[in-house]
Amino acid sequence: MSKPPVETEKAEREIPFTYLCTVAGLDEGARRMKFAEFAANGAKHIVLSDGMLKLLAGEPKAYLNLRQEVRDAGLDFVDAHAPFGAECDPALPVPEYRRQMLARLKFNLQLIADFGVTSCCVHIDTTLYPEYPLARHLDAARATLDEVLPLAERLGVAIGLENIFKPLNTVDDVLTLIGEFPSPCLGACFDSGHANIMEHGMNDPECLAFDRFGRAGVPVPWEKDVLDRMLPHIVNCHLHDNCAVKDDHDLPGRGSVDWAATFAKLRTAPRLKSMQSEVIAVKHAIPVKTLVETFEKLRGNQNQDRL
Amino acid sequence: MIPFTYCYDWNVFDERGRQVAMAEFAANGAKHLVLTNALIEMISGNPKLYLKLRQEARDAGLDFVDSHMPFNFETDIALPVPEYCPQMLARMKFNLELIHDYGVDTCCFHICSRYRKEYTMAQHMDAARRSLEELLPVAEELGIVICLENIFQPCNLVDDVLTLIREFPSEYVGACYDIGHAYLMEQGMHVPGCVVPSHWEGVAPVPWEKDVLDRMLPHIVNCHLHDNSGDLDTHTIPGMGRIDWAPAMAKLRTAPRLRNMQSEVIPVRRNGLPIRAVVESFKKILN
Repeated sequence: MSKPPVETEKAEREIPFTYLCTVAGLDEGARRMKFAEFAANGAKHIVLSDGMLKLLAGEPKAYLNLRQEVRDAGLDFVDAHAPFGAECDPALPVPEYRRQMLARLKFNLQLIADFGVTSCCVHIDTTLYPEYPLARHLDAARATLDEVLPLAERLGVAIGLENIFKPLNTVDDVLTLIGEFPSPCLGACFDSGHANIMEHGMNDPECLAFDRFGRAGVPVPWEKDVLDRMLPHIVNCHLHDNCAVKDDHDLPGRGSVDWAATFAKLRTAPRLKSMQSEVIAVKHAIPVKTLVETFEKLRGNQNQDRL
Repeated sequence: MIPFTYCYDWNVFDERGRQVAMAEFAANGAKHLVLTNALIEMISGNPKLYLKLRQEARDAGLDFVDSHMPFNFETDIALPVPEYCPQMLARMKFNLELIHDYGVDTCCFHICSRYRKEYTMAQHMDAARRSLEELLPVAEELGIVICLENIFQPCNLVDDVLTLIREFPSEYVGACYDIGHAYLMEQGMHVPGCVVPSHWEGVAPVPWEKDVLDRMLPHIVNCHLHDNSGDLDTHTIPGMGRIDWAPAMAKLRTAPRLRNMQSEVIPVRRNGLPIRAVVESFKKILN
């Protein structure tokens, strides 16, 4: 008589795996081809990306079209990424720009909920405003969460704050905000590539972290045990590889991330809702087939027909 | 003095083309541009453009006066499909914030751009009422007047506009008088090939209108000025259609709530008109 599956194994199989699918510059026909390619290779879910959310905001017609295109391919949307940049980040400290940022973020959360998606990565800050100190940025992020979190809770969308190799996006920053806003709709988005840079980039002077922290005039607060520290709070994740120098968003195996250890640990994350390939396949000319097969192998699903 | 502002088909240009067109407007004496539905869609979908566009206008010596909310089935206040309404309302609130940020205090709204025959007119109008209930407090807080436009389509009649204005008595709800649409509804019955009946097929007989400007006058906050010949909604320059401009402009100037006047000529896509011709045509009827 075979043993019943242990609870963790059951949980593993239920975590959906979703793919970043770049649609920038594609018309409807090209988008449909791309979605079909993912489906033909066994993918079931794609990410409602920042590019797609911008498309939905800028082209109201796409609100109905995009969802139908994805349905027609046999896919659905799992996980989302809020648009980011100087005009969109929660830590935006310039008072006169904040109203549009808040309205934009709320609108995006509404679109995300309408598309049936329940998690969304949000960058705390992508572009520092040098005339404001770091503390003002972080206070601005707090003010944003104060206003946006109630809506996220009402819509049932969990905001995942992402670790990045930039000031205001360290694991400490992510955990500080999560600690200050205890809510089932606020958690962490673990980014494997960014963690690799912050854990192993200190020996290469070309490492991007030197530049990003140098711009703010602060030393790089190199990190350790990023995944372990974020683990209790992770709601979604960005999986991609690099060599701890540039933010390549490359295929697992082409960089120095320890994938076996990463997957083993991630599987135990108690709040994890989805796993995401954030490989930018277009940038590296990676075929969808290779992309999907690589992740299926890592997940140990290479022998299953459909995932 | 009532500011005069110009609409343009910005979405057919790239950044450089946009800058050149803005400079062209300024060189011809224009001072103000409309924050059009296309521009609002562009800054909605492209956050970087949010700051850049304003600077481009400033660099050309122009500013934004008046705006037009994006319109279509997914974006009209009379959208009768309940599951699409949250995104429509969230979109409009976001757009109102952008409009406010651009220093604009009037915004034209279509009540209904795409009438859905599977829903009744009453259902469309009830949807519009629900939308206004939610949007008006936002508009009031931001100081933006929602201006409902007369169009030659179901749920956009002068009666519909005035009904909603009456039901929502607020200084932040008013009318956007569209002279070209008024002409189609007042004269189209005499013009072969008029586009109006096609919009009413399967809905109701065309309720041709009279005295549109007189009826809307007390409520007009902004206006769309363009010409046609009573057949198609060509949005051409004054003088290229059949509208009698002198009495219309004389009357419009007496509108007690009027905040601005707008050229809603669509120069590029519909008419192939140079900017100079547009600006000069309005100088003639304004003087």
